[in-house]
Amino acid sequence: MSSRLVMLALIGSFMWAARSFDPQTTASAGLTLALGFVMLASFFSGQIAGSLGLPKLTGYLAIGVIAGPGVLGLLGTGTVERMQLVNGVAISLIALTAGGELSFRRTRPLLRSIAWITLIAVVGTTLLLAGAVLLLRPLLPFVASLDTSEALSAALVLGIVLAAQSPAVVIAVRSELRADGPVTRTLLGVVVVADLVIIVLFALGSAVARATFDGEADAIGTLATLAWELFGSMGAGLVAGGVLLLYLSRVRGGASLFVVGLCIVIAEVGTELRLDPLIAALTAGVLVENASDEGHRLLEEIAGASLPLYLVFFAVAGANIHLDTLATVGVPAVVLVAVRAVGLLGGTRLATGVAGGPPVVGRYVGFGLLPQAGLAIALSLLFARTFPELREAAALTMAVVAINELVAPVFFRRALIRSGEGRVGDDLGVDPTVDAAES
Amino acid sequence: MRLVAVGALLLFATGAGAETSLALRSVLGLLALLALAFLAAHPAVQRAEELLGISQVVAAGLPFFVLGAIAHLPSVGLLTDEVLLELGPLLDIGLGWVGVLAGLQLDLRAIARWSPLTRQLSSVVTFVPFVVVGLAMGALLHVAEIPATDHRLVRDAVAFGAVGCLAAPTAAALLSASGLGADAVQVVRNVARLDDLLGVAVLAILSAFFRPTASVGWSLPPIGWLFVTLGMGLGLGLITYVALRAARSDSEGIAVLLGSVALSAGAASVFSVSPIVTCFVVGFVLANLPLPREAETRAALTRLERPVYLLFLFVAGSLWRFDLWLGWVMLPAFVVARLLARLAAVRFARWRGLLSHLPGEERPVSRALVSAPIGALSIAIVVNVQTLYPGRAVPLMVTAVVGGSLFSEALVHLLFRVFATDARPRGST
Repeated sequence: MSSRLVMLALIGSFMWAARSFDPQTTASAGLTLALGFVMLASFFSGQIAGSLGLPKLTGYLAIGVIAGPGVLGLLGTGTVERMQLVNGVAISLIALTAGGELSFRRTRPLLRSIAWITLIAVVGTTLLLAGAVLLLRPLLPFVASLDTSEALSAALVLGIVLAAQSPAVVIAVRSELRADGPVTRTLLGVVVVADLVIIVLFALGSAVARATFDGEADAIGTLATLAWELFGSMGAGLVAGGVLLLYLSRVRGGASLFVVGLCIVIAEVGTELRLDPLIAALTAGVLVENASDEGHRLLEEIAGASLPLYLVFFAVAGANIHLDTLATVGVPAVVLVAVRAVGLLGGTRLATGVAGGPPVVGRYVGFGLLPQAGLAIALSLLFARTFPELREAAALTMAVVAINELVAPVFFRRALIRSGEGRVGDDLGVDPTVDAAES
Repeated sequence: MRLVAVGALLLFATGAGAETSLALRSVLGLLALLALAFLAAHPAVQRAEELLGISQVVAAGLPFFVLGAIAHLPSVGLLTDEVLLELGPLLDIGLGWVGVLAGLQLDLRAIARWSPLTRQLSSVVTFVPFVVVGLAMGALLHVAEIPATDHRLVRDAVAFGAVGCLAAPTAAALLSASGLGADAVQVVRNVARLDDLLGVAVLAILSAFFRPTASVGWSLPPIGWLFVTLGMGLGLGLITYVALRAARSDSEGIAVLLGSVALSAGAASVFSVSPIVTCFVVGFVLANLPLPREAETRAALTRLERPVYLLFLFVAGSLWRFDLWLGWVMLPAFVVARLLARLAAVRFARWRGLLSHLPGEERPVSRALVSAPIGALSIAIVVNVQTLYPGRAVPLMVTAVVGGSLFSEALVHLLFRVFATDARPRGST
């Protein structure tokens, strides 16, 4: 481990020296330098985390936190913003992986559990969190100043934001441990479905809340936007999946590059046409997995190309963690993290019981719902943009995300190992993407 | 059918016009690129390339060049200067990737095994074209537009010399395919290797002695910048080596390589030196240390080589100015100067007996050395010159390199077909 620490120090020193040459650089050269630094430093910190028995992504996140604008400042705010471009591609690739893993044939026996866990654990926790926000009003000045109906609607939207999960963390840890079995499959199904549910709930909830604040509502407009986002994205995903299928079946070489290229298109098209790249890529992955025999090959191709994107994705997520917010909203944030954990863990047990699922699912799936990353951050930022009068709430949501992002993957990893589905030992050293193709 | 689809996309992109949103045009451009990538990788297209004898990426990637040129048209406006600036990181990483690959070819142990004759031959065949092409292009630039007192004249002439001296290993492959002895093939390959080294060395000197005017930061003498470039490459090469040793799978290896290339190329760009040179030194360090999983590392690097060059051709297409008359004048001058220089160099080498260790194979080897097509690294050097010294010389260089590549590619195949009997091993019918 000491040699890896020395390498980290060397890479950090080099980055510091390069930045000292032109500290204001936010141009393309600075971005290339930052991308290289993040990939190499995350690689070593991931190995250090692995040797400490932590998920590798904790190491990637830690690099983002330490090198980010909040601590050492090796990655400036402008650079981190420009690196978000990689995030869109990474999210598409992660969604494509998740879709490629969702075999209807293998998931069908678990559908009841998935549906009940989504309803009880995820939607239930959303309501629980909204209630907690209302109860914490004395500690939250931005809610305290609102009248009852406004506070209720704001609390509801905050509950939705805070309930969001992270398919990225689930896929990364699952791949690192080469986990497979009912817990893993149910979890993958739940995080994917829950993501869709949260997106829909946020769109509806924020429209209702906006109407409460403004005194007028545009229900048709909201529904049209939502329908476009959902069904338009699915349509785009079907087209992308068709193109991918065509490529995989007709062309033998260079498929991993083509997959990355397609993810860039999905991410860029999604942003420009107001589609959701996550839903589009997910649909494409599901199509390839369930409408052809190319699903396995798709995962293999993704495996070859995804690790660099994951390294950058999690490091950028780490750089976006504002530890300083903990000082101001620390107490309510910790309370909300605890409420969220109780809701998700308890809700999963209850839902599995109702669905008659395997006890192991009830015991461990909830831990996979705890981590937060990209979606929660995106919704937090969207919340701050939609409700400028509640912009202080962003500090609270970011603080909750920060805690869940840093701490929850550790518990999730342990839960997967305890469930008997995650492998430990030598496999820990194997990169987290190789195995995605093997299950 | 697929070509029609790509054509339709391009026409649509062209027809979209300047009033269409940049976003939509970007999406169309991306889709067209994706479609071209699909085509380029399709087995039928690759079979067709083999049938036509197209072996050089510059020739094979001509559609990308044309697409880049179309994308830059004001009526399309896809690949504007702003977009090129946005593509900066991708270009830096591509340049670095090519640099590492070139550096990996420079195994000192292999060079130590070269015979003295091969060393002298390689030096002559590499240096003469560099000097002759540089002088010829410098003279033309001077006559046409740059006064002798302007430092850009030397800079641009040296850059022309660098791209003129590069040779692709196509001729070696053709020699090998025609059944010539391994030594003869190796000689041609070694010359191509030394060409790359000279091209990179010239780039290192150029970026150290002709600092981009916009560069800021430390104030060092030119030789200091040369040391910074080489020292940085050496240090990052060692870091990359240790990281590659720690990688435990192929995809970890790829992540490390990509990270190292991005770090090295990014640092080079921050310091306004050449990413190709810095990464070449990284590749050189890796080539000369016992690298675990060496075959996988080389394979991973090679896998991305072609797409990187295709991207460069796309960018080069956007830098091309077909309305610059000087470019059309320089193209034949460049081709003729390069050909005559290589001919003179090989004649001199034969006169000095530098090919005497290849009895009976002198003529086909000479022909291969003279007709060797322009190496793909030249297109990377053009892109690097654009990132360091954007200006009027770049479109001229694009015309010379792409036109010269097509001509030399055609020439080498023609010569090998016409003189096919010479290349057959002795005793065969």
